[in-house]
Amino acid sequence: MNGGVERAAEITVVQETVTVTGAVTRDTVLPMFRAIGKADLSRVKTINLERVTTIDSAGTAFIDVMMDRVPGRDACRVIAGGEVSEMLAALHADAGGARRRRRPRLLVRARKKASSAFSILYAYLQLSADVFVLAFFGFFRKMKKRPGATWEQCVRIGVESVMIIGLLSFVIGLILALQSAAQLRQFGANIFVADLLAVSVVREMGPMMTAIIVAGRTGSAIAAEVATMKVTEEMEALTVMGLDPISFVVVPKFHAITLVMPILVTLSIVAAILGGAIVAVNYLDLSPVVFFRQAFNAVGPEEFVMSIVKSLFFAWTIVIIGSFHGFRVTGGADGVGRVTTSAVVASISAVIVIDVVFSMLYLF
Amino acid sequence: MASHAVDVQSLVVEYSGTRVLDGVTCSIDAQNVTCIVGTSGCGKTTLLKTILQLVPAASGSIELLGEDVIEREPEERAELLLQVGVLFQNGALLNSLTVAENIALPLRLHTDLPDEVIARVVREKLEIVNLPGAQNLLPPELSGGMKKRAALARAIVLDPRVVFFDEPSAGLDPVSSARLDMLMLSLKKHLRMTLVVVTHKLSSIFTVADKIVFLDEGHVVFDGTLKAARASDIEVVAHFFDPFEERATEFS
Repeated sequence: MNGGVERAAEITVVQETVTVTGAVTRDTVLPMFRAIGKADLSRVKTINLERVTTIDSAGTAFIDVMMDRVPGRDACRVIAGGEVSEMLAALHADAGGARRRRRPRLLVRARKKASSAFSILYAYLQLSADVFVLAFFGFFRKMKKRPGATWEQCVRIGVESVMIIGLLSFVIGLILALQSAAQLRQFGANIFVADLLAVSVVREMGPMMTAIIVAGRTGSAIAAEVATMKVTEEMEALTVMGLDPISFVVVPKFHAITLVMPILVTLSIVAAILGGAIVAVNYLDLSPVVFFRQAFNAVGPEEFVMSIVKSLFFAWTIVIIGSFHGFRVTGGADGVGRVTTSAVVASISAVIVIDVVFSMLYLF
Repeated sequence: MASHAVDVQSLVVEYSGTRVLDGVTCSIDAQNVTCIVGTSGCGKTTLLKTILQLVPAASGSIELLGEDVIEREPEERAELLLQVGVLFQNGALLNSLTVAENIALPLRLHTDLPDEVIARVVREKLEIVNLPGAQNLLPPELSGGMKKRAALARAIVLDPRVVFFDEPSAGLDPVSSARLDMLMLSLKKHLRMTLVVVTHKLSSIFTVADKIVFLDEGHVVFDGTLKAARASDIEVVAHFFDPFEERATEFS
């Protein structure tokens, strides 16, 4: 076999001996590596490096890889000249111990994955239980948390979201009305744009849009905050100071989101209906009084209550998933970024799944 | 006070099946400075965190101020830990709070002291750590050395009997590091605190240590005075305390 750039190195396999000659460096390793891939090394017992003129780290790694492919590596003899032998020892002192780890069998891997998934689920349920219990008791007794923390979180989660939720909901209401108006107009059913808008916004779009925006803004912020506190040992500092990190960090957010989410959903519904009203009045020539009367008649109070209840489930899920991912952070800044992304993805997915469950409840 | 502030017996700690501490037995004398030393990855910080029960032990026992920390219920353990202060490697100050709020936090949560008294205690502690006037700064506005001193002020705000230091010199210039060493000696001398310092910085060890617990690959290989450690013929200990001479011989 012939390997090497400009024939700088050559590798031959003859019966039980592999002979390498020339310069075994990062420039010459690739062709030799390809050559041993095609060669039969099953009977090899000796690797002769006596005629190697130069070897570098890539070269020693290549020799090591080749030895891994030889059956009975321990019995394989390496013959090398003084300088190459020294290089092998210096650059790859642990060559003999650098065995390739055999990949576990499929069933073993599957079992490990399953057990890991169960432990994640268990940890998630445990955190959820802790948060609910601590948050519930937190309403009734003085907890070890920073004074004003809940109010501060209400501002961050609620007040700072007002503009974006209001604006997006208004635009969505506008779009929904425009899309449906074009169809309804053909049948002279202009007035039903109010029904369509009210039902879809109160039942679906209001809570859903709000939850998705809150998941993007607040879910990511919670995950990033908790994860950063964990990697900078702030969580451990809290524990040592006798404070429960869940009570101190997560519960104020849980209380805050419980308080502000219904308000945000109400705002979203109102903004979307206002957006729709603009289309109805200007495009469908409906009077505002008729539009709003029709809209209010289309949805009952129980539907609004159901919507608020649904939004609370969304809110709690966002806080718990954000915290859960934050607590699971490993590593440094890259870990924080990773858990933040996964928290947002998981929160939005969970919100959609919960929405499906509630939609089925509407049916029954 | 017990003559030993901390007693560790046959402690085993494992992370995902890998044994990090393997039968560690050592003691920390009260009102002394004990340095837990060893090369990177030998288990020093894990030992510290296990004593504080931030990391669970697989087996063994730990007595902190005469009480078994492993067997205690979490609430009782939290009470016990109020007698302990910790200076974490990066200070671990809460970034959303000012320095004064950080230092006052344990007082606000564990005492009924009026605000005026709390403010006075905070000022006193800041004086002790040579950070007067830093009350209203946020942690990101502090230098590395100032952060550590502010964190130390928080660690000693409840007048703990034992203070743990995790790599206090990490990331500090020699002057700030020496200043922190002097602070440690001052805490020991004037406030009669027991100090446990996890470090591998020789200058700090030579300045503050009364006793050395030397860890190597999860085992205690030396437990004795600094003087005895420097004279030790245990290879890894001798190599640690005289690394430059060893290197020079190796390459000559």
